[in-house]
Amino acid sequence: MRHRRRTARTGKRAAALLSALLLAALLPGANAGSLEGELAPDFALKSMDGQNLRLSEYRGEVVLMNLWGSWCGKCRDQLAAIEQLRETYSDQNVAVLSVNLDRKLKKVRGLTEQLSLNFPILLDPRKQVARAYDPSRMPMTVVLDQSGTVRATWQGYKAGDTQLYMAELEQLLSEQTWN
Amino acid sequence: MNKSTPIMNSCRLLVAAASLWLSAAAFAETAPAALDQEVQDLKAEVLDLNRELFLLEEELLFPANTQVAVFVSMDIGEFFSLDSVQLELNGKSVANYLYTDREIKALNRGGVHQLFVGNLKTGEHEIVAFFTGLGPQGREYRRGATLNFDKQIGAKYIELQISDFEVKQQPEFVVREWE
Repeated sequence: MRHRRRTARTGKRAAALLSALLLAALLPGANAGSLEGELAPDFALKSMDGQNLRLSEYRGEVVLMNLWGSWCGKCRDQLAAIEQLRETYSDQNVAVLSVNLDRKLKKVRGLTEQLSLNFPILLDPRKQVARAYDPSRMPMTVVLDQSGTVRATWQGYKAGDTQLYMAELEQLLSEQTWN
Repeated sequence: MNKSTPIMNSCRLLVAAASLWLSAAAFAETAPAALDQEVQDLKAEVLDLNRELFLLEEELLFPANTQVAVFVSMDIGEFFSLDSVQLELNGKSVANYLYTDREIKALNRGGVHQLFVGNLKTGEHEIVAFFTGLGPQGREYRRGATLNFDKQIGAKYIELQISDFEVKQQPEFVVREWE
């Protein structure tokens, strides 16, 4: 009798755990972590100032990268926050990159001028980077360690996320790398 | 028969403790150096293994009999600043590569970039390369170069060579087979 009750309790716990896992998988941003621990998909894109930049050339630096579009309101809020972050870490081994997914340059140029952004804006009108990183919500933010491995990703943006980015950057800057 | 006295026992204990302390001190001194050496050896082994794996993978994916590889090289490059190369093989686009400043510097220093590696059956084939960049007087420049070649059994190496044509003050694009 007692054994049967215990089995039922264990079954209930397993069911609860399973439904929690399912719920977590169904929530927006569930694929956010799928890249974590993997080498970041490499790409080369033309930046807004005409320079070609390749992600893998930033190995040795901690990289904060976001994917955004001018149509997304949260992206604008995040860009302003990222600019502040860039300033904070300007004398440290941190590179900030931004990948824009707009088809036309006009709005992007207007927005970057309005927000006085001082980090490279890479243009991805063909969505090649978007396909590789597969964002479920915009903006998507990715932090890479010095070996180019994805260490953290965030889908969407809300106030307070900047603190999370900073915590991650601090953690990665404090990590020792083998040369 | 030996009979150990309490004094002898204490002496033995003292000697054992002293030798233990000495060996611990010696270990503490040599341990970091030995560990460092071990890590370096391990890293060298991993690099060797990685190289061997890469060669094995190449042999497996692109057997010597069917392999075709295309390389890009640059000689001086005074009249042309390379931006990208698009490659078509038998009318099908097989590579589209954007060059960064760092890569162009490497090409200018004599580096050769493997743009494409694939498999082809024996027979007649056509390769077309489109070079995009800035030409003389900083104007946008796009040129194509074609090569028809006969693929025999054995690897085929093709070079896309960018050089300066001093007489015409123009860049020159040559596609040639390596003997």
